[in-house]
Amino acid sequence: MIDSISGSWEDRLRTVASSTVYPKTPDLWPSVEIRLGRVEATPRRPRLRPAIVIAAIALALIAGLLAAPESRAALFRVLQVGVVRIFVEPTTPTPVPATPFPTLMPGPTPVLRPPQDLSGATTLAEAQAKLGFALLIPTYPPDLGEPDLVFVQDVDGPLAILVWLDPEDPTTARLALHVLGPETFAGKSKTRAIEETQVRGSDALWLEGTHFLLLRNGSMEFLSLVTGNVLLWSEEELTYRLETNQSLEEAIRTAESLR
Amino acid sequence: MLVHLHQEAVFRYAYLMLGDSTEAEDVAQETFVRAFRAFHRFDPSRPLRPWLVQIARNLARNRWRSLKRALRAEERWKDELRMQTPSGRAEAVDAAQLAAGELRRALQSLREQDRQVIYLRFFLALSVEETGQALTLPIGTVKSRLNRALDRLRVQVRTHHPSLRQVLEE
Repeated sequence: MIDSISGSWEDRLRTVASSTVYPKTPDLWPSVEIRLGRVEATPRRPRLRPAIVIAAIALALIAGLLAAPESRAALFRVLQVGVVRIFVEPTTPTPVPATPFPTLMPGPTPVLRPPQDLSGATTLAEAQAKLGFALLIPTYPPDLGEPDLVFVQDVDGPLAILVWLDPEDPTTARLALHVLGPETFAGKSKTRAIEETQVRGSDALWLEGTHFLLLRNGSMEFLSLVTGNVLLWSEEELTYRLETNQSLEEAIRTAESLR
Repeated sequence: MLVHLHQEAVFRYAYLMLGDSTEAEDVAQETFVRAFRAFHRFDPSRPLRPWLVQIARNLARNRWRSLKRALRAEERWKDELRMQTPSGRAEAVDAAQLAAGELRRALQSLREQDRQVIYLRFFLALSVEETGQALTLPIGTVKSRLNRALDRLRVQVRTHHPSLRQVLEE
């Protein structure tokens, strides 16, 4: 029998259960990737820039769909910037691009973790060396300086997270910049509010939202580091995601200050 | 990374449900494919693993309902269990593994909902909250269902599994 089991009946049960022999867990990702790839082989959801052209053609169809309540309820608007795909909830009050969006005000985020809780802590210099691309740092606001915390994670591709802490409360983040490599997994949850804008002439989105992050305890969760909004844009092959409580104008200025 | 982080839990859960590694792999693979496709429906305020287990559970239950598959799986499972008994390859199996095999046999005599809650709490080590999310049950219901399931398991062990009883009660 087992010599070392002690504790309550339930503790012993847990110990016995943990001794269960399972077959070796197969590596599922290659087959999952292939199956998802088959889906992607069908016409892709449009990226933002082609979507502007397509939107003009589709506008009449969308208007027709929105006229029917059952169609309106089923319609998700899908936008993509870089590797991030966003599902805009059908309850969005003005889903037709021609209609001006209200300016978002910073609001509470669903889950907020201390910025130190992330996995992959490193230094700026090490991050620069690890990543296969140049890591640009915002130079606005002028007092920003270098990030206080730097993380590099692998979410089926490189993800760099730069965090600037609030000088008055170092347990919270003032600004967080996520830099996603071209192959990074960045599936995104549904979003209620969204506003289209531009960063250095490239299409960008200003939205509420959370991001898939790897925590130190090994779990992956959707998290926001800053209580505020998100500016999302893409340059070259990289996708940038700025979490900030700044206004949209200030956020764009910060985004355009990357050097 | 997403798949790698959770594939062991999802695969093992499917294996516990179906008792067949081939079927479990199919279910685990399908779980991730469906999760990626339904990503926009995931509630970001909740942890991911219970959501994946919930998908796996539905898939495994549907699969289990197919009689031919179930019978085939049962035969394979019996073969696998036989390998964990003294009449099989006992030399390669230690006492803890024997007890674990006995526990799985004891669980087979319980109702599915009893097995589910024990699998999630004791085999996959999910918290009560996570178990509730995976089974779409309130925490209070999870606790009461777990208590009842453990009571029934105790009776089963005492009545029909003396060697396991010795391990759990000595």
